[in-house]
Amino acid sequence: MDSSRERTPPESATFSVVSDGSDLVARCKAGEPAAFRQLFREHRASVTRLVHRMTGGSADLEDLVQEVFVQVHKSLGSFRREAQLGTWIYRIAVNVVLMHRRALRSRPSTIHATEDAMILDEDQPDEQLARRRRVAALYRLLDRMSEKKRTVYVLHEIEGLSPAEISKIVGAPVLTVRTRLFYARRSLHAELMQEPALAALSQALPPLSDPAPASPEPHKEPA
Amino acid sequence: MTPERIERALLEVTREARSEQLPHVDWAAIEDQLPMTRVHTVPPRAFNFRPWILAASFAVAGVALGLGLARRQPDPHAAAVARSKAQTGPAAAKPQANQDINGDALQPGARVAATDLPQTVVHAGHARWTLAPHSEGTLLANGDIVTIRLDRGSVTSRVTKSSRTETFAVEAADVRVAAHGTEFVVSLGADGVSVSVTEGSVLVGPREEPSAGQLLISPAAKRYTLAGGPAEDDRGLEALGAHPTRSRTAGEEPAASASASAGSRLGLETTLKKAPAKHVSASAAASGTSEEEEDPRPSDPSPDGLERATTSVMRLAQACFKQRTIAGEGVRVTAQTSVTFRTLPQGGVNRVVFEPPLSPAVQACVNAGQSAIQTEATRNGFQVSRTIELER
Repeated sequence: MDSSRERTPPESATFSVVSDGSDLVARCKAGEPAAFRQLFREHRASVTRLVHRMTGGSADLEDLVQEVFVQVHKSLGSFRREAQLGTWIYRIAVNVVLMHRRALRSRPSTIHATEDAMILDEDQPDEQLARRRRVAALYRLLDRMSEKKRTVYVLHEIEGLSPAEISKIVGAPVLTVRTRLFYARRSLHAELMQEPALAALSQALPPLSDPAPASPEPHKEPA
Repeated sequence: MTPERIERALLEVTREARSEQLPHVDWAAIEDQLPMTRVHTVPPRAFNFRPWILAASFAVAGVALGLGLARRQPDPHAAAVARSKAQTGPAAAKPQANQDINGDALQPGARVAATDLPQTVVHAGHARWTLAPHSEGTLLANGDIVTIRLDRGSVTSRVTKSSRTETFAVEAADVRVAAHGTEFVVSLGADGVSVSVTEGSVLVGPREEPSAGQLLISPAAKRYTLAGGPAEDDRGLEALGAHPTRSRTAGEEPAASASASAGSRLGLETTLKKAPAKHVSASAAASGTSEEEEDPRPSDPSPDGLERATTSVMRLAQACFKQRTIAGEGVRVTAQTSVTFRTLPQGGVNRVVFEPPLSPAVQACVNAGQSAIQTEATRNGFQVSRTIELER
């Protein structure tokens, strides 16, 4: 397995668990509006960040965040504390985004929102603009992947969640999560040079004095 | 290119994605749109022994007794449900005002009435409707499409945006108002039904044939007969900007409408509507002169001015559609929609609305570009609607 390639989740990207949620959930279930307002305020930042990254910068960000919390409210009765409240909300957020993406696919034309947002903001500094172009290119590459691979890649590499946490969110065994991660990385390796912004980045990188292992190591798909 | 460089580039861009700044999000607006942060979700028929609930219950019971009803009402929610199941007598139950009713707990057939204060019913994450004082309504359907019947008075509805085209409808007499994610008011009078749209759009038509209705885009107001047809005395409300239905032909437009010149390649049909007239100020009224008489600006745009404004908006829409619609090599993407824009009295475009709406990216592009459009100054501004075909 490609365990050597599993980077430690960045500190800033773990669940923003402000409270364990037990009392809060109970109050929400009791129908206390102030409790749900508190839940919203505690989790809105992490949910927004996840939705933004899962969609690659959708213009529907606010609507999606709202939909996540509507679903959270509707499903609170079924929250069994088998997972942390943050993990459970992440699971709902992932499902809302996946439903949204499915709906988008049924439309006749596709719009890449990240590119649009970037164009609207062209007076930003060159380096910042170049960075946003590269990130937009990464999201385009991710868009070409299957939903399963893309989801675990975003959750692990960008959100910084561990495979164990991801397995609870996507409802798949840890081993399957690792496998999807491997194939997601391999797919990105294969297609990265098709994006000019990323190709330019790879050419501009200074040479390493002590080269690291290059390609994703061989991986055996579990039977 | 070596695999090592590709790996490092991937790591680098992933790190950049991780540190990317989030776009601005209007938390307050989202929180305000979450009905559950304001709704008291007491299950129907559940007794709540808080003192104020008990007090409210006694008050309700008192009203019920006063009306000759023998049924005891434990709380407003239960009152509405019990009412719906009983279906007795012509008088509806009077729940205490200012206590939202959980609409999800109501059964079809439930009747709700407002007393001296408005009464709100909330369907969590879906819609909320508020009966004006002394108004009455009946829940006809509860589920994916919530349908209510306005029996008396006026109801204001706010419907959460949804990818589905219709999630909420109000019926008043034989008029049906179907919502498309919007805020609107329906008032039932002795001789007709008034519909006012403050946000979004609604489809208004005869109850028996909703698809033959008329699309109203905000801000708009219109009167209909009890049978669902346009009311004859609708001149004043028509000027507020009712949008023509797609099925209506140019020849059927009221006298206030005018066809634009057929110069534009894209335009198929244009209607011009006057913006609402200004109110006469108190000082002007006292001096016997109106503001309109003092204003040197013309009341209507010139034909050239109208055409220039229309052409500018349509060019902007076309450019945005071309720029923001991505299609594969050799793929042609077209869209037919209706554009409505309103101008400011001092010149300039106030808002541009497409119905059916274009993608958020195209709409954002149009919103960003509309401030650059100059139009003729007129006394009250004007509104133009036109059907266009966009192509990429």
